[in-house]
Amino acid sequence: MSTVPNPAPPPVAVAAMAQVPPHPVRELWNYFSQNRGAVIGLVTVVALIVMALLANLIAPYSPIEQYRDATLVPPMWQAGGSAKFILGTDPVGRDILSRLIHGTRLSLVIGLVSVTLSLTIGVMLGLVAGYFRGIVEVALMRLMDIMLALPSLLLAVAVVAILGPGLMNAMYAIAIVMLPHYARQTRAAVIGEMQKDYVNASRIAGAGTLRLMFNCILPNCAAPLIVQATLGFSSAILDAAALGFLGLGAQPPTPEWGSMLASALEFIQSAWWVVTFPGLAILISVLAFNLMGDGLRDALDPKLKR
Amino acid sequence: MALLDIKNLRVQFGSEKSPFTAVDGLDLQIDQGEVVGIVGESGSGKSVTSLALMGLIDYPGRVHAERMAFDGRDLLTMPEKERRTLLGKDIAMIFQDPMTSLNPCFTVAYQLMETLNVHQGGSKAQLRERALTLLKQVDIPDPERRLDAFPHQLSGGMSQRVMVAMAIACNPRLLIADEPTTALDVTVQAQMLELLLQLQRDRGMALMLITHDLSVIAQTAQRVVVMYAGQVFETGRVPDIFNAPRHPYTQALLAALPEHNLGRARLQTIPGVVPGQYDRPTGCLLSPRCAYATDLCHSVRPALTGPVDAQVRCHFPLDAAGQPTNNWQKAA
Repeated sequence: MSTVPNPAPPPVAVAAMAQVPPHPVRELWNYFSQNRGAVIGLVTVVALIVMALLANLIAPYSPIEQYRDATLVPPMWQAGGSAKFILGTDPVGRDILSRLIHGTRLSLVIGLVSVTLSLTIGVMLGLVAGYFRGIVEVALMRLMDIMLALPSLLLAVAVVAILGPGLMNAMYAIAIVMLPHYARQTRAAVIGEMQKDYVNASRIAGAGTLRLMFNCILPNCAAPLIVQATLGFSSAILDAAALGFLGLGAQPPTPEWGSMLASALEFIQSAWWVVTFPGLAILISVLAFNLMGDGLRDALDPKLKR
Repeated sequence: MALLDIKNLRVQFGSEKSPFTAVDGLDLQIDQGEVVGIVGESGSGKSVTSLALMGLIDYPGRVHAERMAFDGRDLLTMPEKERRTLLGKDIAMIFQDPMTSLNPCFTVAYQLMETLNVHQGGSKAQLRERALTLLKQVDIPDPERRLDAFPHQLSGGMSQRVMVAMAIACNPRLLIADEPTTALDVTVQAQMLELLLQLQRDRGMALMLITHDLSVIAQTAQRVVVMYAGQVFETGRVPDIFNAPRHPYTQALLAALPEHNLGRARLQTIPGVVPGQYDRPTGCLLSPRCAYATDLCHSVRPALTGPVDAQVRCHFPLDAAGQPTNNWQKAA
């Protein structure tokens, strides 16, 4: 080498070094907000949550009060409709708008309870199966396979038939039906993470089984589970509506969307609004959760990042 | 007494009826403050040895040994809990791939402080202070800011330095480095080795350096163990083993170094691959690939012979001039 002194590093490099990487939450939002559908989904979901929380304030009438002088009133913009009942009334004179608003509350609670239940149990089962492997894994996963082999609605109906009809039992049934999805997804993620060196490194550092399972491996499996849980919300709402429609879920006069559909089935020809609006409510909320879930998946999965 | 004393270690995988022996009768002793290199091709059982030592071989793998002791304490009969306290504190390990060796969910500070907390304890501020000191010791630029970085925000070399910091956090007496430089580029490799050696000297810890790169060993180790297909083929002191290898395998490995092939059109290689489960030869495990193999080599498996620091597993060890002692040239 000659005696020429080393040139000073270019200032650009220093500037780049000083740049602080974005906070993880901010980074997540950046990816999420690039997907317009996901943002629309998120807005709708937030609107649904607000509607559910403020149902008592927003809804013009009680969801179970019957206006016997105003049965099957069409929506306000149609001939014969009145501004008193914006979306019309059902065959026994209850305000459809009020019932829909209160139904939001039920649907979200159903989604939350059944997803939480089945996520908790499913994650446990998957974690145990993926961590211990061997006979434990075989036993658990074949059981999950058997549950998956039954048509989901049939399984839910069978569970409700055992427990008896009712809203709470419907939620249990839905949780059981969704269980295998979470268990399998967790197991797959755990097996993938177990092969990484950081798990061995933790073991060498003296971490015990429980610490390894919950503190070391589980957080790294969270991304696919968050996505699955969001999408699970929509399928829970859909299943609850289906059970309600079959008369196995919420019992009258509870304003549940599925049972609203079922109770007005005979009027589908003469009073279209009684069936259409609950159906639309189900459609919109399911779509919103699905869009949001897709957006989350794109944002959380590093392989899909652009 | 040796710090680490392994006698007749055997690690097997697969079924009981037809097991695959990944490590076959390995003896290894490492003294306090000593640097021992373990070399061999891929599949020669180097990493499995270190995993067995750390108790990381899970079913269906099986570990047998006549003796496996650390500082006079038997690792095989030790209760699980005691072993866990020993691991990480007195024996630490660095892995090959720095990108997967750190938990992607937590910051550098969290992971360093977790280890420190388990083995030493202390207040949060104290732990953080010590974590910072550790990062400074492994020469990480801008350590204050790296403390709160997540692993994906670090380069490979920096992740490896963090790994080293975690490994030395509790002042281990034995550090096992499993191919610590393989995943790094050449300039960083040299820095990494320099760092490991400096830490080893400063702290007087023993270092077990597993690698397939003989030049790494030449720069660092005091003793070398050459492994092939799960067996020890030759042991020796540096630089003796480089000047006068006694096993044809060691000689062939040395001949394959790029530095020894200057001016040639092609690098020298050892023909064939390490035997697997179904093609283990009945004789010497190297016999299908050995340039000097005779009928005896093909039919009888040689034993490891010689004094402790110059053992060789060969029927016809090479002489000081690197020539075989079985007159194979005349026979051919």
